[in-house]
Amino acid sequence: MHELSIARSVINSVEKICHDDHFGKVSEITLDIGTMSGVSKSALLFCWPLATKQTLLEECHLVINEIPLTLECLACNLKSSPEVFIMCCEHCGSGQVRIETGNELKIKNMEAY
Amino acid sequence: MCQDCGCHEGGKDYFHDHEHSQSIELEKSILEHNDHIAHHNWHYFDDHKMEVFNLMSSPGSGKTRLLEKTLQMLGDKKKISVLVGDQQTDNDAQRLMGKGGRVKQINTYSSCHLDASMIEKEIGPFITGEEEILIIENIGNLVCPASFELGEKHKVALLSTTEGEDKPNKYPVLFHKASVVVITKSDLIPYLEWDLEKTKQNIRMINPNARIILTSAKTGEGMSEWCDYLCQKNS
Ligand SMILES: Nc1nc2c(ncn2[C@@H]2O[C@H](COP(=O)(O)OP(=O)(O)OP(=O)(O)O)[C@@H](O)[C@H]2O)c(=O)[nH]1
Ligand SMILES: [Mg+2]
Ligand SMILES: [Zn+2]
Repeated sequence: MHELSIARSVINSVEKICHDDHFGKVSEITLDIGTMSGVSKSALLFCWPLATKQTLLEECHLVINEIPLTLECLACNLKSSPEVFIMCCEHCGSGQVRIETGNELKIKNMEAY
Repeated sequence: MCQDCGCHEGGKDYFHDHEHSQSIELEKSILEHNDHIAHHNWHYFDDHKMEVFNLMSSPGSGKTRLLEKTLQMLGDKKKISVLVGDQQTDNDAQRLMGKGGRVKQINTYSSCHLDASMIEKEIGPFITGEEEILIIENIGNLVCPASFELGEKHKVALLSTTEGEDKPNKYPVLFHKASVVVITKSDLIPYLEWDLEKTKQNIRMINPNARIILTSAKTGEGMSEWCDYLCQKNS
């Protein structure tokens, strides 16, 4: 359950921005979470209301975009989006692939006033 | 701005006014703060020519036992320090004490992983910069430790023969990030229905370039290969 640490990191960095830029309240936060980031969307949603209690993000709506895994093959240059995690090109079978998306762990944007 | 080095942490420009709710593009890494501290740790280790290993595995895979044997084999050849993380107890530090290196226990209480600030705190009080090798035994957990950079040079995943062949597929994040996978408890293979080749194939599906070392801390099998690995970048 490191999602609580993840929630706290989001809150700390957003509160810092609010402090620097004189925002009093955050109404919505959008995160990009890659399926390979090791962070579970449901666990994060579960601990969010508790983690944001008595912060500028209290009752802030949390939107999570789940970013699927996509691989780029270094051998045939084609892209694949395997359902399960596997470092293997679906087209030519090469293991020399690069993760293009799926590692994201990002605060995309926030609505604040 | 960072107080220590003056570098800009984040530093994304955005605009707003205070009349209405504003949408602000951030594009900021969630783990920016941890990564920033990890970056400082990394530079400290690099400046002091230390090789730093982060050992991760499920509880009971044999991290501490591997380290007991490692200290016995390398303790008089290399200056080694071990930081060992557990939620509670200093049992692991007790086991490692007097085996051939400096040892300190970190208790994380509720946290299921070590983070970069916990390592940073040990620079000075425990980490002196004199050590040639620093080994960090992370909390026994196949999921959470993988997300937190500590500033280590090498991530090592352990996988014991009793855990079955498919753990790399079930917990790919950790096995994908590791540069080395140490298979432990090879002495138990005769008693298990466990297939080495299948396990290796599964690891390669997740991490085609990982080095795989088969070991038993009990019989000593593979231990010299493991110790050579720890020393090679160091010598
Ligand atoms: N037969 C055999 N048993 C081993 C070996 N390595 C570890 N064990 C045993 O497995 C159990 C767990 O080993 P530990 O070294 O405590 O495992 P760990 O990964 O440090 O565990 P945590 O710190 O709790 O996550 C102990 O009873 C060890 O003696 C091995 O190579 N062979
Ligand atoms: Mg241990
Ligand atoms: Zn291909």
